[in-house]
Amino acid sequence: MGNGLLIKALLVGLVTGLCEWDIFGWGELMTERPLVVGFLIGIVLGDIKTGLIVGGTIEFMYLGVTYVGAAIPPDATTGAAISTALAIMSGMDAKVASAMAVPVAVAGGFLSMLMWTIYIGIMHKGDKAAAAGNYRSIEKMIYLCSFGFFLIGFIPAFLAVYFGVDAVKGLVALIPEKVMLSLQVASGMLPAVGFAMLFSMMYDKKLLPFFIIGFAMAAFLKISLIAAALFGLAGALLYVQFVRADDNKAA
Amino acid sequence: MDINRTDTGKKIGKKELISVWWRSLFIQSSINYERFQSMSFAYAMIPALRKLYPEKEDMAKALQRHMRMFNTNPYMANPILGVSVALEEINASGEDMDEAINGMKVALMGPFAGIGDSLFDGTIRNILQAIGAGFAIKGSIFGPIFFLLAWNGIQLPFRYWGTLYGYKAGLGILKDIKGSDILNKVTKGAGVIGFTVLGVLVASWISMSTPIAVSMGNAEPLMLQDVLDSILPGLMPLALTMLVVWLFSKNAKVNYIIAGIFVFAFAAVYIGFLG
Repeated sequence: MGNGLLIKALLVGLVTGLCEWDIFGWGELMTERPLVVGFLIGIVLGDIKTGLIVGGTIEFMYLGVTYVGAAIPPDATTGAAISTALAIMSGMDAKVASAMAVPVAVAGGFLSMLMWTIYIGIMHKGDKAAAAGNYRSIEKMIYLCSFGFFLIGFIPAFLAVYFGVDAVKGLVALIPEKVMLSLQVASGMLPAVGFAMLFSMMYDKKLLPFFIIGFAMAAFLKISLIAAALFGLAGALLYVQFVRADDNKAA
Repeated sequence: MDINRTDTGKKIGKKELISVWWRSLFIQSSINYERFQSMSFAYAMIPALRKLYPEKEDMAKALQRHMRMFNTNPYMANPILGVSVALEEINASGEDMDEAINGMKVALMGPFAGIGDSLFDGTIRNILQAIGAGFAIKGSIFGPIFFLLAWNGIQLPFRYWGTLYGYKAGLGILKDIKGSDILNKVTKGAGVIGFTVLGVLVASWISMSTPIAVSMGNAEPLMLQDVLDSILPGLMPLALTMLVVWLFSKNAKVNYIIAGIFVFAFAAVYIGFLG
């Protein structure tokens, strides 16, 4: 059993890693969806039918769970992979298995957050490469970053199958809640750095009113980005018709 | 204002556009909290930039331009890449397009994110997933295969077409640029939309809130966040952004600012100010 379990854990890890890699590496082919993950785990563990049923069941549970804006949802890919593996290997019911996989999915989401943070550092290295015109170095960093997302699928799935879901739960419990919360709070604040960079670079006293309009519309009226862009477009048309005309007169 | 693209001979062909499309599939690969897809955008631009900027200095300027903050829906990144390639081509012919390129990217990324998230992720993919899962749950292998074929039969061609279309549209807008004020108008107009969108993004993509509650005896406790929201919702994100803008104006190093944010976040969570 020992060797058989190791091989199974490696196979499940490999499939999960490849599926997870998809949306952060090569093309959003959507092999990361539970529906596909369940099918592929079914193939490597030799029970396609169970894989399909569990994958389909979990797909309905996670329908609509997706990346919106900058928020990271629980990792449905890892969750689905482990649930399917549990259902096939121990005959557990699909719903029970997927409930068991929830803590692992949370751990997967935490790993994503970690990657999003680590990659700030790699991007700063990319800044240096860009300043030197060294595009080959940027290409290498992209491949490295991309591969990182294979690992965040492989590691939790492998551990959960080889050591059991409870062991992974124990690992997650080791991380203090406040540390998780602090990282979440920091990740909510960090985009301010990127926005501030754009603001500083694009700043023009004449454009400031538009920033205020955009901010106020979003903060008070909860306006959507599409609506804001239309107001912005109207502002742009007015601006080039009237303000620019004045500019030219002055010049 | 004199553009003679045919003289320079540095023109983007279909080969470069196909490479840009192919590389756009990596758009999420270096995603991070500070500037999201920036480096992946630069990566996708490389085939076009190599053709346009044989000199290392020009290449460096272009790469740095595309390392700036960028984030949109993955499928909608392609038309923006296409327009960027067109504008880079004009830039390479001697017209300074730096401001126009950046303004256009900022102006488009927000609304395109909104459109793409609801069209591709919210609608098309959800429908296909539901159909696929419906078959899978009955044990039919047709479920996942149908889903993968249908989804990629839509998204991959859309991204290819989007890249080409963006490129043509980008050149089209600036076609009659010679001796006219159009470039200036486009640059300023993109700046106006960009700054409006930036205001929206500051209010909606930065999240900060305080859990502090002031006990009011028998009455409902007073939530500090509610008080702040009644004055100005998004006050803390705005204050933080302006603080960072001020730090940049004092030439503060970005690494220190980021480290400062982490330290602040941990301290604020542990004393119960943020969470």
